[in-house]
Amino acid sequence: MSEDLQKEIASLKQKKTGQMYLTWLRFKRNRLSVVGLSFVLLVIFIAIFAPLLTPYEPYDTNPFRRLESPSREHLLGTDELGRDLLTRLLYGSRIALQVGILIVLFEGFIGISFGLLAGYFGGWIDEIIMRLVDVLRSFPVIILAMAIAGIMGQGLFNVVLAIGLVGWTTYARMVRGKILSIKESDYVEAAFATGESTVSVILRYILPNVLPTAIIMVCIMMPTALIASATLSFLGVGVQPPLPCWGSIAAAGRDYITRAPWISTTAGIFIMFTVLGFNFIGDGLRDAFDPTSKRN
Amino acid sequence: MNSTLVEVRNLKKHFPSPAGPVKAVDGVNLKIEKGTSFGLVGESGCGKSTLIRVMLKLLEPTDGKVFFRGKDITGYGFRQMRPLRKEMAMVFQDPHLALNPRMTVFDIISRPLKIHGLARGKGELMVQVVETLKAMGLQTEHMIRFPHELSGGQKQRIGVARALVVEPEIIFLDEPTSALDVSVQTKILKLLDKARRERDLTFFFISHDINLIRVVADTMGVMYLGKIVETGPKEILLEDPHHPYTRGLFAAVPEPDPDKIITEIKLTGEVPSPVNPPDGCNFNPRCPYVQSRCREIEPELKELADGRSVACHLY
Amino acid sequence: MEELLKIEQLQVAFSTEEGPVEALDGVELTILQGTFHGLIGETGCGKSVTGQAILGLLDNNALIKGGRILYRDQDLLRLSPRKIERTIRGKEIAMIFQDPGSSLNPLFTIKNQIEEAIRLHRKAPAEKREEMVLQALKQVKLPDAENLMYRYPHQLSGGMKQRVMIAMMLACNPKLLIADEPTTALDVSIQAQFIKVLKELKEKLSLTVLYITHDLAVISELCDYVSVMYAGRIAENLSMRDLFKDPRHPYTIKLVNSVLGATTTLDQLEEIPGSVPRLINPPGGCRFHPRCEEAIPVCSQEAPPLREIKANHSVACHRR
Repeated sequence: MSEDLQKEIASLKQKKTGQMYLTWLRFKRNRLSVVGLSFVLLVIFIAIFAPLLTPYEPYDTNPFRRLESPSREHLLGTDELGRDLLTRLLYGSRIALQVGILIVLFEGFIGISFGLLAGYFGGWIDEIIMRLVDVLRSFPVIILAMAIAGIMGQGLFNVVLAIGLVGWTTYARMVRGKILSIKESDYVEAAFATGESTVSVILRYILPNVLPTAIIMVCIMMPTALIASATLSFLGVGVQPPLPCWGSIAAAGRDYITRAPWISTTAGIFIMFTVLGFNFIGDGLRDAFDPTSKRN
Repeated sequence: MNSTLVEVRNLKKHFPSPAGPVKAVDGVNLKIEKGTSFGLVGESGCGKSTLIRVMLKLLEPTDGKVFFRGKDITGYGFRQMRPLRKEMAMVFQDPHLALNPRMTVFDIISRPLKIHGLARGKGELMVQVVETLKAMGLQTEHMIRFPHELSGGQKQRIGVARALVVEPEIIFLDEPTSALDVSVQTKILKLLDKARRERDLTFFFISHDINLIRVVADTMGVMYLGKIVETGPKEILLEDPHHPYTRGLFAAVPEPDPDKIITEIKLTGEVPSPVNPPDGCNFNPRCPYVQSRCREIEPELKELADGRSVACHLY
Repeated sequence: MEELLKIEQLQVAFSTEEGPVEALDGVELTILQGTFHGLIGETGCGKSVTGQAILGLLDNNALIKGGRILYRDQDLLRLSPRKIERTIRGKEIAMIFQDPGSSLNPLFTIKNQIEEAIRLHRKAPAEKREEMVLQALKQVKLPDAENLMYRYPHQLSGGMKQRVMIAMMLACNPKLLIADEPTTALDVSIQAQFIKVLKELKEKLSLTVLYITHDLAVISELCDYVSVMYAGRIAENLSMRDLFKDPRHPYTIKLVNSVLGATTTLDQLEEIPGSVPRLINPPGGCRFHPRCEEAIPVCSQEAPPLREIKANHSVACHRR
């Protein structure tokens, strides 16, 4: 390699801006998604540093100070067992994120794999997977989850299983549709014409083009997962007390809604902001991942 | 003439459809001589794009054979085809769709080199990519670009670079300029022509544009409803087209010259569906010289004394 | 000849995420009654936008920044969208597009659709409408019109649909037809049939057409006058003969010399260096100057105005 060329390439490497960076630039332009990101980062921060943010323990009950209204001592008051509500809500973010992430990973992994198989190979594989999707989608999620809880018992893992069992179908459908269009694209045909193998085509041409869709899917499905798990907890078949979970806190507060309305409302507000955050991020990513949307 | 590089015998490609098989390619015979440029003209839906894909084994033929350097490659699987992919490259019609949007120009052009093990080490790879880019009138700087950052003409030059970089024997070109503006078309055509002369390449060009084929081809073929109706040296065909379809097609091309106006419509009616092509000669419903045998007997592609072949009962 | 439509200093900008795109910057052209006027240029030069602006069909993010579109001394830009829809579109000025399929309603027969158009734009008694439909279909040389009019759009080929569009337009008897790349999606043999139909209509009905295309060969078949656009501006207004025999603007010359004809060789073909500028940040002065071999310093500073150099021929170039 000539020296000139070496120099030129070295200078190019400096000029080269990574695709991730460009994506970030495009993401940043959307104010709402930056707001969403800050919500989510805040929830993550709270989940990690919950013990440092509050002097109380989430399980410490105090029968003498039940259902107290917000005060200097208990910023959001106490619940029906005299536990500090704020503490429980802060610790609740841990459960929410855990459940959310587990659900999304679980359903995402299954959904994307099945979508890939169905979309790329088609034929009877596609037929079987898509019929399974149809069947599962005709189940009411909540009732299915209640049935699973009835059979396998209640608990965090069963919540993940119950929601994920139906949730993956959304990923599978999206990914399959995307792959069908990519598979027919000229650049995949061009790849085969240059001698690429099937594995290489999947890894280098199809997956990189599906990935953005998958990431957006995760951000959009996260709120659904959070709400579903909160609903299950609210109905009493999800995460069980005394674990501090937003859904069950809201459910517990329901009985005291006239005496202590802040219990249910604040739990609801925590859920709402987290859900909004992920939704905004999803929207922002959709634009940011589109390489044809121009950068400034 | 030189030796035959690619030959196609009675090639058929039928696609299943609810109404019955769509006979996209229905018995094509043609030979591409080494070092020549074969231009195939046909209107949309005549099967030319399918033909190119079957010849390249991107689609499996329904019937017939494809030969490369005299070897029957029809039954070749992935492993047997792979070394041949280095010899048979392709340029696609729409440059906006033919490049992976998630790869840089460097990745796009270097992949074929990597696949066929044509460069040792990153340095050699870089040199070859840069040389090919330069030959296409692009700069080193373009290596780090993504397709969406380039203009249509630049993208198509990347498409040509990807085909040229492995130094193939033959390049299949599927309407390489029809998605481009005229001013950009010239650039691509000249680059292709230069590459062909410098590297002694063989071209197989398909297009709906007769004037384009006229400029780039030595040998010309005309395709209608899945079949070749006439083929031969370009000058002979242009000078005196024989097949009634060829005549009608040539006469329908508008000239960019106010003194040459289309006077007569020789081609009337519409192309029949490739699901139910007419019996006999499939051009018979539109043919002004139709005779009774045209409706019953399918004409063979016959070679005439002047070197052309034509599939018509009149000759 | 009478001036039917006159565009003066038309300026249109599109607001986009990246900022305003100056799609049209001072477009000037005049269409004479009974002539075919070609509007040519490459992708993104603003030729379609010009056509849309006439009928108030611009996208929502478009802003008309100035100029006038005079149709029989009436400024179309000053009419309300409602007024244009009621009194101009379809009735006075009709438009056909590249993709005829998208302009026809798939749920109604050809007859229904043409009758509906007649009902909207002409006062004709119901019993006469069917006859008018038939007459219109026959005028565009559609075979077997009696049966064809009971078919649905999907049962027709692209070329036939395009002729149905013309028939529908003819049934409403407009004064001006705007045709935006009507043959681009058609095969040459179908295009030739279409061109022939248009030529006959021109003679019989003295139709006026603004023919928008990138195809110079089609222009030479049909048009009397031509406007050449480049990057949102008119480079040259001239007669069709002058376009091929005496083009003056450096861009026009290059454009004409890059078109393949039956006798051109590859060596004769000219290429235009560089690429079409993006209109988000167009070059200053003459927008063609970065690609122009004849550019002089003034070209990058001042936009050249359109100047008449002889009858029916004006050019926007500092060097002419």
